[in-house]
Amino acid sequence: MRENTKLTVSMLSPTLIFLFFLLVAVGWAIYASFTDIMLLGPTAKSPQFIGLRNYERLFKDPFFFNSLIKSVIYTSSVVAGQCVLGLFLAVLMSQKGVKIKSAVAVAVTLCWIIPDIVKVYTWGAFAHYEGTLNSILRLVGVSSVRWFSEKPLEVCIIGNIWSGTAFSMILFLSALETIPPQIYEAADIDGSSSWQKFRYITLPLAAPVILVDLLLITIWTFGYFTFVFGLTGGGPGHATEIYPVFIYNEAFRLYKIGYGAAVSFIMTAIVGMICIGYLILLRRLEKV
Amino acid sequence: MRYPETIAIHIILIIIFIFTLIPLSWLFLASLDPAASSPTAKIPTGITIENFYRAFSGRPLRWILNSLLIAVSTATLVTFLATMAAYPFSRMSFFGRNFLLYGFVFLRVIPVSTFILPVYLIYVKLKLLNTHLSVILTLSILGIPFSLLLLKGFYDTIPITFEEASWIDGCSKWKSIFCIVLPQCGPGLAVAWFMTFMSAWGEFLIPFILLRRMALMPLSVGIFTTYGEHGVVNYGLLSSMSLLYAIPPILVYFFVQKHLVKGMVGYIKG
Repeated sequence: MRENTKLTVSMLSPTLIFLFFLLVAVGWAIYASFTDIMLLGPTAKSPQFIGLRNYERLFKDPFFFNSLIKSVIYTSSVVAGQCVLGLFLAVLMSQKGVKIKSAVAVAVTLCWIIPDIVKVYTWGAFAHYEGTLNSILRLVGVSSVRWFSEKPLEVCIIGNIWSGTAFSMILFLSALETIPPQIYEAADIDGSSSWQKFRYITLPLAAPVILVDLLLITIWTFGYFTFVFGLTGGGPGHATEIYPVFIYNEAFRLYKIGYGAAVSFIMTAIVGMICIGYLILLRRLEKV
Repeated sequence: MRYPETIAIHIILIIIFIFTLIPLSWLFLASLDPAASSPTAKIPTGITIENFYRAFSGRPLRWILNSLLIAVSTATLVTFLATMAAYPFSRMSFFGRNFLLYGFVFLRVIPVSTFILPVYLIYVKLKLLNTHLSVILTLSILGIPFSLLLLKGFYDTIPITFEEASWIDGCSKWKSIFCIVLPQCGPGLAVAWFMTFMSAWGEFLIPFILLRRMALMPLSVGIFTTYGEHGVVNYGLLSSMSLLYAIPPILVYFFVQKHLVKGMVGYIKG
């Protein structure tokens, strides 16, 4: 028994030291959120304790609420788009007699596995004023649009759906494979339509996976910094300043570290709530 | 399956296929175009590898090497730590085991952007800003949960009876791990290493915040900084850099694909 304890401790401790480092960092940031610490200037060296004033300011800050609203619009559109499109693709591809399944899967997956910054660069060029999107539209007879100044949030949303649908698609494809084909055969004999098969067989049986997928991509999209930051930097003005970009701008552009830390913790709280919901749901699913 | 329906499905899939690939095909064409000056996809007038040559010299080469250094060190460190830590989670019962395991799932799921400010502040205190070490450490912390859960899943599939037999023969616990368990989870170790490599290779936010010196940047931050640096955007060079940057993850993904889906489903189930 003592040998087991020794073994457990010695194998776990290196990893726990790393975790401890993270906890210290978080603790230090909690402290910082109660001070007026700046990245530069006199308060960088000797920050003053100002209590809850950062949090008070936060609830009076119109840009904070702006970023919350933008984040909700951005996240819900992207999540809805990725989930619906992912399910649509997975269902189409799992039909019998579909020949180009793997070609489509590879194309969609390619857009997902390339590094974030390559997605940003490629999508930015695609939707650029002189980019491919506008030249395709010109072929159809639509005049060019300055997408990044006229419809910035929409461009980011569609770009993220383009680059992120693969995750949902892969997940749903493996979930659909677990549905026994006999059920569909029985439905065929009863003469049900494709829509009925989807509505009464596929959807209920894939429901747990759909829920897990929704929760995961909600959390990831909510905190996804690189894509929107790389495309627009939060601009023009504050039009695409979603939550993570807002934190970056406050802390690293305006040097308000203390305030940025306070904003981070509200974000962590929001994500934490979604996570708790996720864990409760997992427990329920395991019991079923 | 009715015939017209199959045709309709094919048409929809082909349209999606084309629309998905249009932005990427521009990337490919522009990297080979000797006169790539606009972001519009067009057939290049000639083909050149000049852009790739330039991406492999001077500053871009430096960035590629930085990316490689960061990704390889992170992947090795994470695999080493996770190999050890996953064993007790799979074989022993100890105080706080489930709590820790859920903690790791939680850590895996929350976005990096919530951590970045605390981590930045601690590196300011430790005077480790502008070092590769800070980036490697941070990426390792964030990479451990995935590898740990993946490897725990691999250990779980290895019957404990092998180890028990070796203990009876007088083998020590450590020796049984090295001689019995590890040789059987080679594929698991490879998947953990490559997956961590892939995510560390593509990471943008952490090096962007922690490294402010040109010579230290990985390729992701380098591409971001180069874009619009001198007013005129050099699409040819940027495209070839982006393409080079995208190749390793693509190779890794199609190499570990089957295991990845299993691992993904595995850690979703906890």
